[in-house]
Amino acid sequence: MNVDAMNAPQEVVLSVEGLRVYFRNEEEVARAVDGVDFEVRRGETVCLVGESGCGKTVSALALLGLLPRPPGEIAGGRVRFCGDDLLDRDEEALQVVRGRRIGMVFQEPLTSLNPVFTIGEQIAEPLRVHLELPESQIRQRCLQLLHDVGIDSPEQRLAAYPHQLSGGQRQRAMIAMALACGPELIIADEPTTALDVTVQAQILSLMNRLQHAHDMSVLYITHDLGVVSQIADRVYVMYAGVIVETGAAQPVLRNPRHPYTRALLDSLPNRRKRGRRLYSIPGSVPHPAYKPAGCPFHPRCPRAIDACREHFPGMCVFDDGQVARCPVAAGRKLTDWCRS
Amino acid sequence: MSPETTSRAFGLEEPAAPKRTRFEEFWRLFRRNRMALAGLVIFAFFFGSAVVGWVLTSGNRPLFDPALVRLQEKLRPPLATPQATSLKPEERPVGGRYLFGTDDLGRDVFARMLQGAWVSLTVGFVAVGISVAIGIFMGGLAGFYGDRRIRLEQLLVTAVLLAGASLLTAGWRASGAWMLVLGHAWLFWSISPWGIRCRKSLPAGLRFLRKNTLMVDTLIMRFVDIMLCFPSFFLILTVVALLPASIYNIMIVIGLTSWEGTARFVRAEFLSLREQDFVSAAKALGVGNLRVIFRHMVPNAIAPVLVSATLGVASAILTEAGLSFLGFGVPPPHATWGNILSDGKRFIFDAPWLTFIPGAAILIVVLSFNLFGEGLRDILNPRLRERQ
Amino acid sequence: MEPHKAESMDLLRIEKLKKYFPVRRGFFQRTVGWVRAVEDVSLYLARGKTLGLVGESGCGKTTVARMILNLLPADGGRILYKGNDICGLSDKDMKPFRKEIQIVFQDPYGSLNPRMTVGQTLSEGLRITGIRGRTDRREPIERLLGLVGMAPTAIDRYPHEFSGGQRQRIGIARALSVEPALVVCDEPVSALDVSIQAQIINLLKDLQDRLGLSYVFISHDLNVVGYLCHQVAVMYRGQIMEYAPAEKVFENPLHPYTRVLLAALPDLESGKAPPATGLESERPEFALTPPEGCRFRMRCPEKHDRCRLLNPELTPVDDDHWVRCWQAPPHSTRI
Repeated sequence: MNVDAMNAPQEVVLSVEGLRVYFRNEEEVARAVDGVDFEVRRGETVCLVGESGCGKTVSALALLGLLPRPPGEIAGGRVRFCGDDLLDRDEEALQVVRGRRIGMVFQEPLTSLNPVFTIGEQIAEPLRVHLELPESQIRQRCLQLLHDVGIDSPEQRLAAYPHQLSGGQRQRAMIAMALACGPELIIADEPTTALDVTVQAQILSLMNRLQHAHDMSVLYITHDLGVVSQIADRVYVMYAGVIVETGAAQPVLRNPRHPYTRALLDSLPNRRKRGRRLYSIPGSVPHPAYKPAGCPFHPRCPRAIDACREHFPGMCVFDDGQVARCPVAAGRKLTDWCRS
Repeated sequence: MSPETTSRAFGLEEPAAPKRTRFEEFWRLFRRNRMALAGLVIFAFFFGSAVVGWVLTSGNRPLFDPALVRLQEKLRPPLATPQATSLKPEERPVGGRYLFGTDDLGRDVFARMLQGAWVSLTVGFVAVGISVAIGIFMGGLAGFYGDRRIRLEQLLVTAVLLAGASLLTAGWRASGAWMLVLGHAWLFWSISPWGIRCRKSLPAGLRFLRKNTLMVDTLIMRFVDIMLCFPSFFLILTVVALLPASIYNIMIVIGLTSWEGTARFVRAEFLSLREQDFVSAAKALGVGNLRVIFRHMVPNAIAPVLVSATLGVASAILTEAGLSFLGFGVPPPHATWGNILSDGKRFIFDAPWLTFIPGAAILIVVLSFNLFGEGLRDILNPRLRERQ
Repeated sequence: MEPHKAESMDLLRIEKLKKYFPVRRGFFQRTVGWVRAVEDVSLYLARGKTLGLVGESGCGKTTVARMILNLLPADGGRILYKGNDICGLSDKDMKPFRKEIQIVFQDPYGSLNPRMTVGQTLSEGLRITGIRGRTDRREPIERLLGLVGMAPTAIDRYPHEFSGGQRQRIGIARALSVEPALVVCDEPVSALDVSIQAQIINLLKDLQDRLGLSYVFISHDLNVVGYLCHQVAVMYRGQIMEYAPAEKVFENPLHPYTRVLLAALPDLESGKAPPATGLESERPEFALTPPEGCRFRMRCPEKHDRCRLLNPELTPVDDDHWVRCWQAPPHSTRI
């Protein structure tokens, strides 16, 4: 997956336009996702990156129809998966899409696997429900899947219960379940956050290998910019429920245009920064019910000007195809600011 | 950026969450739970009438006299006006009507209900107070010091003391007293500096006394298991039958036989709290064990205890009513809801209000406590809370 | 031979520390085996420096932290603080050292008592130092809050009103309330967002410069350790695998495990490349007794016949570089 391949026109597998997700209670409305657009093309890995509470997980749950409603509600937007609108679908139709065409991998494999069933039974479940394979083939397919995700002695593991596996093996089993029906898209929500670095490295390279082998797209949700640099083709940086910057991963990480992305990168510690003071973003992420007017990042932004306090900034295109929601960085006039 | 400027820039921000005290948060959630709110309202009403009732029915010349017998006015239905012309002015009911009717001796049921409310309230609260105190103590002991093992000598001293006490009560005064004296002497000797010095250089033959036996946790929790094996109502019946009938004995006996649930809750809470970082932090600061327990652990363990105590009040009221109904409860001249019910059952076809009114009162009060308790449990459960 | 020379400089010296946890089964809770959580751990820390303890989850680093604070009794070895062995001291004898050694925890939500205001939490420590009166404490509390960059208005607030980073600051203030010389930081930034992480790391550094604190900094994140620590010890399944000044660990890692860890480290500047670790299999679940021989040999990409039979000792390859591996080059300048 290199930059050239990206420039070629590719089929869009998943597109999200203007997605808004609100959480309501009696007193306040938390705008967790506040107009998010992104797309995933065939065969590419897209990272949705942001700090906790920025709305990245909520976006994924909403587009899969997994949002607990109430208190959550989808207040607007469209989600298209291979041309079909997902938000219009009823629960039954969504279930078919979810199990069969979109695979999901979650953060904590211990809680996303059911402790009372063996790994084999859980991998067989989607095969039985969605593909309606005959029983004779199911076992064969399960063994193949476990082998594909790099679990050794798969015959024994089929009969194992989740607690008998290590964290990394559990996550591999989760990936096997997600792969079971040969999905076109995998949505992975922080799949390696709970794992050790060495295991994380193994899982990441596994996902990379599988993606190429099966020609899948991956939507990868993470807070870790290091992971982004390792796997992403394109990246969307989220802050306070909006996308603030997007582009091909390497240019965004090397030369971030939005002050937030810049600040995030500057605040990462590593040994080369020894002796120098880390940049730290002052303050903390705004509560989704009490977001500041104007640009949501302005109270913490070193480049904020008066206009940032009043106008919500639009997306600005930079020379090399990078897009960031910061007219100040782009050197735009005030008139370009207000979002249509 | 210098440290000073960063400190100033970051620190003076206000907390992200809008300020809401624990109580406000609690009240906000509580208000949403209609059943619990209804429970609370009924409980407040019950509490008020019990207190008012206590004031109005006690003293030399109470406004409502539950013991006043008017034989000519027996079994009058609710809201009836007195008919007998021979009533003295002080015998006439307040407001000129028998609000809840009269019983077979012509006593005012309303006055008796008021008096009974006070009995139910005190029995409920004192019994639960006793059971919660024992439960917290035993549960806390098992949860905090559960790992420690009991030495054989400690078991022996306890055995000697218990044997002495039971001999004393069973009538063998002299031998019982001797055993008690011996036990206490042993106890004080073993905690005296001299005893501690001797303990370290115990002759080989006596070293078995220092042998570790059961864990504190095992001892207490197995004792709880044994206590739970007895059907508690019959245990209470037996004990009450042996003791002189009095309202205080009933409170104490109910309290002594219902602490097991609380002990289990507290133990479970303590076991999880013991591993919490703030408890470790307190220990690392050098805060003493007692302070760790009472400042850091008990306040955080109290929520489930509160729930079980609320439910416990309901069951204590019910137990007391049951005992009074069977005639083992509070002795007769004093009215309780249980014995009003019991007296009334003979006239159930002629005077149904005599059974219906106390029965309904018990039902409503017990129900209100249960609803309130369930509501508390929902609110105090952090997992349910997050969903809100 | 112990990995240190100038003894007088050391604030903390750990020698052959050991902790076995019993595995209990059955109705009578019989001990059926032992988990060797920490075995033969020797470290030293000079005054005013930071010692990083790195390893994956379950490697025993938190157990070491708890033993340094005497929150957990050690089963063997010595912990010398300013030359005094604090292993196995009773609560009473430990008291003077409690003021000297403090801890900051990972989870900002579990580390503060939810029923106590910030002021009450901080006065716990002040009470220990002998500031008794309630009004006497107000001023030092405000000073402590200022030290960690919090506004004095925080005093009457409860922990749930603060964000994770702010709570972590309060946790640090609590540790500082008894004016310690050594602070054990158990993954203090792992649970925080990236932007908050930098704030806390800067704060820890400022405090070290200002108060001359020494840190034992426990982390699984080599980036943070590489940024903050002077000495680094890499732990694997209860044993120190490599121990050296930070530069040497990062520039010249000699143990295969250290190399694996460094290879797995995401590096923003290297471009998209799914990491290849060369690891053979994942860490097996914690067995009761680790196999004979080197503990890392099951996963080691460079294993050797000898590794199966004998567990290597932690040996010096340089004056200040110690490695537990048969493949490590021998000490060049033996003294």
